[in-house]
Amino acid sequence: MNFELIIISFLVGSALGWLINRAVKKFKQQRAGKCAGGCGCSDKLKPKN
Amino acid sequence: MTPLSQLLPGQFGKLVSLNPDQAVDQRLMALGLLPGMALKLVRRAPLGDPLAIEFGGQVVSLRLAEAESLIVDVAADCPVQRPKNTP
Amino acid sequence: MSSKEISVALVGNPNTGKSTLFNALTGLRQKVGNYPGVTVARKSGRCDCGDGLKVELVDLPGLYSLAAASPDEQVVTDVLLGSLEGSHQPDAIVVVLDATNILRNLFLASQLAELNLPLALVLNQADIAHKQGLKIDTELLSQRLGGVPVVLTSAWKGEGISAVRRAIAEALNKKTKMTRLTWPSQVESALNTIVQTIEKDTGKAPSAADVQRILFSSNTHTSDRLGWSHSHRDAVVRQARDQVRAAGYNPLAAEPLIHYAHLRKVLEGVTVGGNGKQGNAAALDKVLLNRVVGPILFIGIMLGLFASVFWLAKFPMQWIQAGVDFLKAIVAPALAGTPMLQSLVTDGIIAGVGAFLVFLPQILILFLFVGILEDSGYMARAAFIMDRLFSWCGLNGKSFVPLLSGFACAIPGLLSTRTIEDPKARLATAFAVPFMSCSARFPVYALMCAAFIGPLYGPGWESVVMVGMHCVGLIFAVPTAFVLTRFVLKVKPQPFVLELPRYQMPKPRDVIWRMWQNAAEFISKAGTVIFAITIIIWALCYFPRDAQMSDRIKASEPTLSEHELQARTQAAMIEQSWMGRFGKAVQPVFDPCGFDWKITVGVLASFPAREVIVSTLGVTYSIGKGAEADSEHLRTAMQEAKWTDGPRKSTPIFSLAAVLALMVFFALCSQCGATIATLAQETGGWKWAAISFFYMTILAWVMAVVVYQVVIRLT
Repeated sequence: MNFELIIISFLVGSALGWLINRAVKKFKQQRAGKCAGGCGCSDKLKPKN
Repeated sequence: MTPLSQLLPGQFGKLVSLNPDQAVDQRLMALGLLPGMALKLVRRAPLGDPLAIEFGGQVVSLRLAEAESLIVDVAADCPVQRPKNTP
Repeated sequence: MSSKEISVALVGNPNTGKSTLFNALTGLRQKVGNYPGVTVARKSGRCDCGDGLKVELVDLPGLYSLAAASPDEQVVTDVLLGSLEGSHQPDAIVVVLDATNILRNLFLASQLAELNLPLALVLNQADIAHKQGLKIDTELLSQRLGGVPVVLTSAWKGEGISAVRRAIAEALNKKTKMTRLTWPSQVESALNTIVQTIEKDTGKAPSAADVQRILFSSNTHTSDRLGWSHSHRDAVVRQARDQVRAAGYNPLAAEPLIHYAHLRKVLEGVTVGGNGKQGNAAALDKVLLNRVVGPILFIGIMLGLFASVFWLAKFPMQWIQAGVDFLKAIVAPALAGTPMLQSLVTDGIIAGVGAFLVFLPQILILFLFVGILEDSGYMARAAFIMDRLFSWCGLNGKSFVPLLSGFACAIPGLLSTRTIEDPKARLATAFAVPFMSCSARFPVYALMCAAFIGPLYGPGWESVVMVGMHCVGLIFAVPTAFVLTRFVLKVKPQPFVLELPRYQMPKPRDVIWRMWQNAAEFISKAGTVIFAITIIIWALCYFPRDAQMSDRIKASEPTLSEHELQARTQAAMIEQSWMGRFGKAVQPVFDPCGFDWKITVGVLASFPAREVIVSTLGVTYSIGKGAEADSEHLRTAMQEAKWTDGPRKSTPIFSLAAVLALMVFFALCSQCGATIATLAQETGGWKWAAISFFYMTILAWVMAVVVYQVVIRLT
């Protein structure tokens, strides 16, 4: 096991772990009825009526 | 006494009655369109529907079908009051 | 436990310049959060009101009446009543009114007075009132309303802002409440009847505002919320309404009738002069809503919008690309000692994220233009023109904005369907939104057009195809919506009341601020999700790695040059990586569309987020090119890609047919995971989200096959 491989495994593992964590959190949030999307909900592109 | 839907663009009128059971009419009342109020049919949309009506200093878009329930007393010489806040 | 921060709600009718005022009061100290359980964004900011008084100002969406007509408005009402779970009632309310139409704007204020909270009134757009020759006696108005602070402002010009701060302080310190109207005696007793009954039935006394909602609204939302569902509830309400009738009012019309009568008296003598609100609107509308000129201008504006996004963004995009290449050139030599890490950083992260970031200018410009259109007041006219078409599909003009928003991103589009009252119409609109080519698909079209259509057929065709791809979604959205609303859901025609506001110059600061917020979100998405996905895709394309690969190839083909050997090694490495094996396994499914395994891999990898295909192609083609210091643009790599085996051997992979098929696939296939999740949330379950996913993906595949098979035979 060389040094390089360790770093790579760490990076890839964290990336994977982070994504899975995020997906699970979103699923749970969606279950609870909260906002699931992150793209531009702050944008007030809503009709005023 | 004609339904608003039958007015011609540019015609003025005074609202006689509407149908408070309808959601649209309730919204119009909240906007200040009440019996006795003067209004004007400004224009129809390029495709014929909806209508643009002016009352109380505002212009509101309303569908033909929904304008049926608004009964208006047409009077050519009754100008829509500009907002002095008392129509 | 720290003390609860003072929160002040900013409410008002739509189109009163409330947001401009909010921005002026809070500067850039804003944040957007969530109300738990609902999808109305909670926009709040810090406002310094002098003397060390700092409050949290909450900007609520505009509404006309507390009698909510849509779920969106209901949330605002709930927040103001303090009945929304997890959010407490504001400590004070600032009502923003349009100074040129005080009567109508006061209706909401008058309803809010019933909440018995400290109140302040802001008459905004005073500059326009002044231009109209309107003179307003704010002192008199304040007196008539019980001494609440009344200030004149022009948020757009930045005038009167400090007066608003002082007014907020005054309202909080002196607890200035607006005078409530006096109900006619029978109405008063009708209200009391309900109060007493609820108190007896539930043990809790309801607020005045709640009781009024029960008496005057035809829905049962409030009684349900209060937990008042006794068997005699309907009889009691009916009896109360009969009392209202005895006073001479239709119970469903009583509220506006009584409020307005009261308000007319309040306003007597308060304003003088004024020559009409529709000054500029009337003149402009004569042209913009003209029967002939109107639609032509509308189409022109929409086309212009998308053409501008495409053309204006070209230079900034080139700069970003240059920046990415520069970064690669610096980093690669520094990591030469660790080839694996070097590959991860240059071929993986930089190439992948860079390919995504490059489209930031287009996104910015799109959000900018749509924001301008909205702020200027033109959007309402667009809805007015388009309504007839929409109602044919069972939707209404209000669907126009969600659908147009879908062109930027499906998620705000889906969220804005909340203003559509009928659940079935809302569902139909929500189903159609994903068909609108969201900004994530933009990069794909742009890449394909710039790499293949432009060089071969010229910039004219490039634009045509760009616009055409956006229309593909539309073309299929229409019959889909039609069938859905007429046959599947059987939607009734929708009520449609929309105010056509005064035209105004969008305030540059506000528009740019919103654009910036969107950009920040886009960048953070790139920085996080795409970053992580890129790393993983890189790993899947890199491992497993056969160190003997190079030697084996050399052994079997000893006549290859050094350069050729390297290229072939790289290609072979990718092919036997996990990603390569998976892509090759699935590729037969996409073969009729003309996709090779790399494209297949890109398509599959982009299900979580559509833009990822660009990053993925960046990775798969970059790695295939080897870890050389000089970076190849993705475009060139793709242009030179050829089939290595099979019936199409040696022909370019990216033939016109394949390029078009790929774009068509993207135009129609189901969008990113977040969209599906939002769709599930908005439709209250996974059923429709799943239907949307399968329907769109299968439709996409079918059309891609059709396009490919037809075009390949024609070229």
